[in-house]
Amino acid sequence: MSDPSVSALIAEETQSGVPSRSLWSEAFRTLRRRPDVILATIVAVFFLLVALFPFLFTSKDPQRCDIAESRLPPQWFGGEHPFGTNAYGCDVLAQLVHGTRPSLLLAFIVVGVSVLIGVTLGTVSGYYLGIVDAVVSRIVEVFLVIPLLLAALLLLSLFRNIDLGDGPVSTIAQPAIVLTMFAWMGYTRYVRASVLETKNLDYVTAARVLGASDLRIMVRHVLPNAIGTVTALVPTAIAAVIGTEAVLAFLGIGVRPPAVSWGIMIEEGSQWFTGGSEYLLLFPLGCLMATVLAFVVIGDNLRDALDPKLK
Amino acid sequence: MKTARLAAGLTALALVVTGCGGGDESEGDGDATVKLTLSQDVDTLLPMDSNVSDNISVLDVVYDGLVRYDPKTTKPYNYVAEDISSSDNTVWTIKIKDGLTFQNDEPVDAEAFARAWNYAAYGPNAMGNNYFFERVAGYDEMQGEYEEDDEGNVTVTTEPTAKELSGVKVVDPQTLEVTLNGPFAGFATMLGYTGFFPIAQECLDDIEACSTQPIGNGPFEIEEWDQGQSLTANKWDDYSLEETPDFSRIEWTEYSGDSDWADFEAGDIDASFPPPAEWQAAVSDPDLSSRMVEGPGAALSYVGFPMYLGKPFDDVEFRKAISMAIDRDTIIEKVVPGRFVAADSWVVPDGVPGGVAGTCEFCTFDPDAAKAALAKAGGWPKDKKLIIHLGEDPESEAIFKAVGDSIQLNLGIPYELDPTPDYFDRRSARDFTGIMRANWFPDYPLNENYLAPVYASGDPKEGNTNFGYYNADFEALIQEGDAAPDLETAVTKYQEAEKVLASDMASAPVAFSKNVMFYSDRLDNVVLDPFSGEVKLRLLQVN
Repeated sequence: MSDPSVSALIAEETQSGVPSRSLWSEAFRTLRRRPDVILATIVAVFFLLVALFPFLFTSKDPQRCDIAESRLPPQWFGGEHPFGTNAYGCDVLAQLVHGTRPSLLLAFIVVGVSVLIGVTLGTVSGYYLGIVDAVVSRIVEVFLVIPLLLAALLLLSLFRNIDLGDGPVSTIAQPAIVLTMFAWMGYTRYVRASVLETKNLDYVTAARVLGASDLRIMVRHVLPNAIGTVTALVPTAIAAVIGTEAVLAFLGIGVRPPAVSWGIMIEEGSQWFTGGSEYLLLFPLGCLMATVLAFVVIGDNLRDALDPKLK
Repeated sequence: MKTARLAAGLTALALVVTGCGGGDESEGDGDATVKLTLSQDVDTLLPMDSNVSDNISVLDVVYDGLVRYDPKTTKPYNYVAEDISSSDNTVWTIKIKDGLTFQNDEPVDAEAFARAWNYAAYGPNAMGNNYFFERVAGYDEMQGEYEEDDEGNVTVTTEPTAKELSGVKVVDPQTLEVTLNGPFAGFATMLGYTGFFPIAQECLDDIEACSTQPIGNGPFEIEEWDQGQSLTANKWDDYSLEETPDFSRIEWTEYSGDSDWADFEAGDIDASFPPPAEWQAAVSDPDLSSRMVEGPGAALSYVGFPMYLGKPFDDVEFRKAISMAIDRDTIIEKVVPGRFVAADSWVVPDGVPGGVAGTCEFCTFDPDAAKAALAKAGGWPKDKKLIIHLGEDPESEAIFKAVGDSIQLNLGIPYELDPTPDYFDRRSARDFTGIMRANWFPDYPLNENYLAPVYASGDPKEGNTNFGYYNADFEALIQEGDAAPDLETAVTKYQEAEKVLASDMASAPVAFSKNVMFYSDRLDNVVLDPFSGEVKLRLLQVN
């Protein structure tokens, strides 16, 4: 029985270590070789830096507005207002820079919380099935049939008069809660499906026979297999939330003033587009498109790299 | 201070002589249709309940009032009234022209006015123009206590003791005698307002039907009102008085907000004005700007202070500081070009009797003086935000964001806007913690209307409800004006009262509205009503 070719095969398999590690490092290797991914990553990291350290990019206060300097055209670098000023005389660059944080923070909070909810519910329902699965799946279906924009419009306009204060988190709290409510279902379904697939594999059965607890099996053996697909969804989801925030702000119910966000800037800028100040729309729109595009490209490639079915 | 009551249907017409030019012009085939815009918010066409500029301008061609107003001087002249006189300014005798009828052939007589006024003054009817009758004797007995819910349903908790105004007496079919609570020289001036129009008995019998299909006594008859969509009116052939335009039909299409501008540009409606961002493009278009008409408006936007809160709002120096920190001219030029003019008085200059410019000494932009005044007032607590309360209206939010920016920039006071849908309720409940955007739309052309209803209360302890303002000199001057033997003396007294406001800086005037309208090439002789800002339909000509 000691066929050398079989043992060599076994050796090779064990050498490549835990399957998940090989998956990740291979994905990384694929991604590294693609120029579009590298470019997208640079753009995404740049905007992350802007969000984290706004003062590196502008020294101006976005709330300091001098009406006498209303709608100055861009003076580019070297001028007092490189990107010009808006209708109220506020510095556009300062607003763009300070508007990055609410937009990105909202996206990260929404996606982070959704993934957490989705992974937990998906794992539990896929693992235990029965009544737990029935309840979770029905809730997922209920939330799936409600159109996001309708629900967001409804909830945000119903509660728009509730004041949560004006800290960096509380200004985005309402859209964050509403968007999270309608963003977790996808992850739940994906995770549930992969858990269903994984939990009957031999090594899981082996672990169970060895007396591992449910929690240990879920966390150590089932989840690592499911997490890949979910990770591939994250960048695309971030892009989607940034876009949705802009839509909500455009409709006047997203992130609330005095916080500035790209959506609010786009909304204000659009009024002046035909009035000779098109830069008021083009700058925030450009930033929004660059960021969304970057995250979508990263997400697409990550999915290609991580999803074994697409190979 | 009642945006909701954008009142004042003082749409008037020049005397026939000046207005229609004698009748030797043969233009206008008499069959033309005028297409206009109506706000979607209009919910009634009942004169007693109509107090926004839109339904007021519709009713101006559907009804005739006792007096009408000269479009240039805003002076009233008798129209349905033959004569209005009083020896003591308390008891007024109104003679009505003989032979006038409603569109359903009922006579327009003293009874027609009395029934309309009694209906409006009866509290539980919850009519929008109820408060106009508070000067008439017997008003208090007709109020009772009642609550009105959002749907307009009224629950009466205490029945009023009277059903009719004891001060309104029908002497004979053509004579009405009105007794006021006290002398008021401006009573005749009020009588052209929409709330004083007569109504037919048939209308009173079915108020519901009448509020959508009014039975008027004016030159036009409402044909159909498809609420939320459109309203049409045709010329009433049996109209017997002089002031009637040449065209035969008016079609109003209902829009929300500024959305009618695109349809105007497409040629579907005849008159409109652009949203702020399109203003520049519109005025620089030589063709469009040749069809633009401008006129002074009468509505005042101002900053109100919650003086009832004490420091620092009750300090006159603080109020001066805020007022001088606002760069009115630049804000208007940059944010709402062409729609407003900077205000430096409490009464619109030249718009109404007694209105002069420049009564507000501290309404000029002066950042240094503003800083000095703030220091004198003891400064502003560090890191505390100044809340600016206002209603939910994009235009005033834009203006007051710029006002807040000005205050922040020049005084270093951080601010926050608080647009609230319950603005009026919260204000009268004194629920405000910061300054407020307020707006006063005059109801009749007299300087008294800008002063007494806004700042007088007769309550030295609490001050007036909205701001907590009280000044005994101010109250005394208003009363002296009311009791004056003639209108001119009254106007002078009211002017002195305005000076008291100026020295107290009781509020900070920001801007007067300016009426602007672009019109299609089919229209001619487009004149705007100084009060409502709408086109004066009776003067309009259609090519």
